[in-house]
Amino acid sequence: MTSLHRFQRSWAASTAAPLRFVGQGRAEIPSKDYEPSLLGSIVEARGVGGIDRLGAYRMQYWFRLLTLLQKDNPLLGHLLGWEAFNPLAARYLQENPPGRDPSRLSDGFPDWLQARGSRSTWIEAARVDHAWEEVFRAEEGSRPDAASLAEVAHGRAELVLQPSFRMLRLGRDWISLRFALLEGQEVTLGPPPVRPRHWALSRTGSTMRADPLEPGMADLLGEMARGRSWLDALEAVGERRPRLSRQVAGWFAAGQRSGIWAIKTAP
Amino acid sequence: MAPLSGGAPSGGFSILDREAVGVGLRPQYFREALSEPGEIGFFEVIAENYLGTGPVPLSNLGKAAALRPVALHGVSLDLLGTDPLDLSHIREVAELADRIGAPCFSDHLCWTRLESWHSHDLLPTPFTEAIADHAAERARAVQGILPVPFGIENLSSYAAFQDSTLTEWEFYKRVVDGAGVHRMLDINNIYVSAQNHGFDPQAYLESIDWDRVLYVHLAGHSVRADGLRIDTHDAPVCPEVWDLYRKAWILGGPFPTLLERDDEFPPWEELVEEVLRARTIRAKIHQSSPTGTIA
Repeated sequence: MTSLHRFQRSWAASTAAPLRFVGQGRAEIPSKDYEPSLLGSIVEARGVGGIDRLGAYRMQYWFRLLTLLQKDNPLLGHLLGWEAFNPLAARYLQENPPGRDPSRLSDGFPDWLQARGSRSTWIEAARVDHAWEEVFRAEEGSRPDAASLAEVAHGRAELVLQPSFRMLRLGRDWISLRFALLEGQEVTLGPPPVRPRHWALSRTGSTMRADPLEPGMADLLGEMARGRSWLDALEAVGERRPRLSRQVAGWFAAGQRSGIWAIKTAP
Repeated sequence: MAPLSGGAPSGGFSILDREAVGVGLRPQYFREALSEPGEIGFFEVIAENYLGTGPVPLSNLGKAAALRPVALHGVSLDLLGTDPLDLSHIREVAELADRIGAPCFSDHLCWTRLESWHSHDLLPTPFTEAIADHAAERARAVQGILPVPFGIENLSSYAAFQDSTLTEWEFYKRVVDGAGVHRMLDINNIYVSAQNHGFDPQAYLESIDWDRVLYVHLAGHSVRADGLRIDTHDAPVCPEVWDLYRKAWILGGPFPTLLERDDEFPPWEELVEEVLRARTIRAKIHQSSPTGTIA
């Protein structure tokens, strides 16, 4: 199958060659990009030749990938406008060709923006977008109830973080903006707050929610996100926070409301 | 792994009702489809969405499988590819099929990837005996791993090649026969390719060995300004494809039928109307000739 492999190499190179963005969100296909042997192998029929036929595949390839990135990154797209977003996303895709799972296409986007020294607001927007997608597609773990909490008390189960939970530290109100975009509202991003704050992003069924976190609870969740158990995390936070016991009940209840906690049965 | 629902017993499969009309179950329709499936005879889901860290929670699949048979449909098998088959992917599909009691699995007669590059598209090759035999060998290996019948779907394409030595339907038949597997026949794809390349879709239909057809797909497509038809699944089934479906039913019915929609999603009720339209077309054929053999 050497000839088939050669054909596919030529096709892949032609399809993944970048589009030329010509402003106002429009893209063109430079016809000189095609290998003459590939172009010559296409049958012209019904007045449509090889350039247009290969172009159909190429346009679909880029349209599909850019659409996926747009869907995954509504905040960044809103911030930049699609006219600026699309060439940026295309550069990312050229440097990070799609892998097997298209739903993971955006996974490296925030780090890529950071590595190329993009503005901090762009990076933060992309991180919120990415966290949102992760929360949305994660499975939900078992939620604690009275019986399972009794198991926790007896050491037969453990309180852990929901797979569908992410904590974010944000310098702007991206959360309100993201919910407003979901509702199709016309909104603008407000000025940065004086101090960045932590948010819990979680999901119940198909309903997303975001709750501001008080600093102590953010510390606790940060410890748990680093792999500490609930008890070890409490101990770690307690070393830094007097009168912890009064706060723990409140944090637990807040976590229940936000859908942060899950139960993991001990093996 | 434990079954997700009360589907077919682990390790076995059930054959779809030949009169059934199903829909592609996409997340946009979970609420309606899983609460009031009504006339819907079976569902089909994109297998990749439920494998590994796929984007759709698996729990919905369990709910669907408890209501109706759920056929698995793939988009990344790469039968015409030159990279080695992704055996771990096929085993994952096999496990999922077993878990939900899927009646069958299908994927396309196309290539999708090369080395580390994934096109996320269904790409054509020239139609030659050598390439057909290569695909048949790969399809046989796929069927060897799956616990359910494997169907190959005919492709819609926008490019045909000077190097082809077979017609599309000769190529398709050679692969299916060579592998000893089944067909997942897409009527819209026949129409789209026929229009794009100028062949007679009736000749294609007449080449089909209908007892190998697991079910047929119906979908909509779009037409570019230059006349090229693109298989977008973003519109209702067009009259010409309904007419081809009628001819297919006369030639080879009954066979299960599935309506696909992957973009510009209409309200659930409109999708159900298309299901009813498929039933109506078939009923008219049977009224005209109870044997279903009218010209």
